[in-house]
Amino acid sequence: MHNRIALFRAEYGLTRKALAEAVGVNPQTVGYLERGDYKPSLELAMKIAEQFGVAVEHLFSFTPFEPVADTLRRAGDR
Amino acid sequence: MTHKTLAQRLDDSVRWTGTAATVAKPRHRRPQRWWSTLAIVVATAGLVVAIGWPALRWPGYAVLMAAFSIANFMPIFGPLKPWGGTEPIDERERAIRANAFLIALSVVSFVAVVGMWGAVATSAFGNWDGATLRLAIVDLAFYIAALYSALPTCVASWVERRLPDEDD
Repeated sequence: MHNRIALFRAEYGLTRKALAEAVGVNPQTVGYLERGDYKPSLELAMKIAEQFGVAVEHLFSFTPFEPVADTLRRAGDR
Repeated sequence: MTHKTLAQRLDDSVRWTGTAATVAKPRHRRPQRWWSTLAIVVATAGLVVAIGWPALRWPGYAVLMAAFSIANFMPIFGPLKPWGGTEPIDERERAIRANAFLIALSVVSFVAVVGMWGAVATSAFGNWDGATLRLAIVDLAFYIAALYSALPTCVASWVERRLPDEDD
């Protein structure tokens, strides 16, 4: 399972501790999630997605996410 | 001047000791890889010596008790939060705890069954008297208790690599 939690967290300027407190987990758990070492429950995944105001599939995916640079390049080409 | 009730005065006296503040602080839990492994290895060595060499029964028992004492600190300082405790626990920690206890209790059950039958068989073939058998069962009981305390911590500590605490 791949995720973009670290990316969203950086964009929103949230620390691991702040995100952990917002979704009710230990900051270590956020770290494990970001590294892909822990697969969250549906409830936790939805809480994190809700925190960033996006759909859960924007945060988690079975396939690797496209690099941000590629997305920006494509957006610039349009 | 405010008049405090007896209960408030008792609360104040408890706060004065500092115990309430100490208990309220989040506990600093850490993986205890080496201490938990040490406790298990030393307890095993103590049990083998205490039962296998009757002349060294009491030194073996002393070693076993030392390991048992170390093992009792593992649930306090180890990474696993206790069942039914007041410390907040999230789903990942719950999953790690369940997995660690599943492995540990399987091992403890196996050791208990093998140990009991082993003690009975050894007493029959080794012509032990009743007192020797009773002492062997006491040793086995302390060994199982040491395993129960140290093994879940040991499993969780080796399985999980703790991430740095500092943010980002």
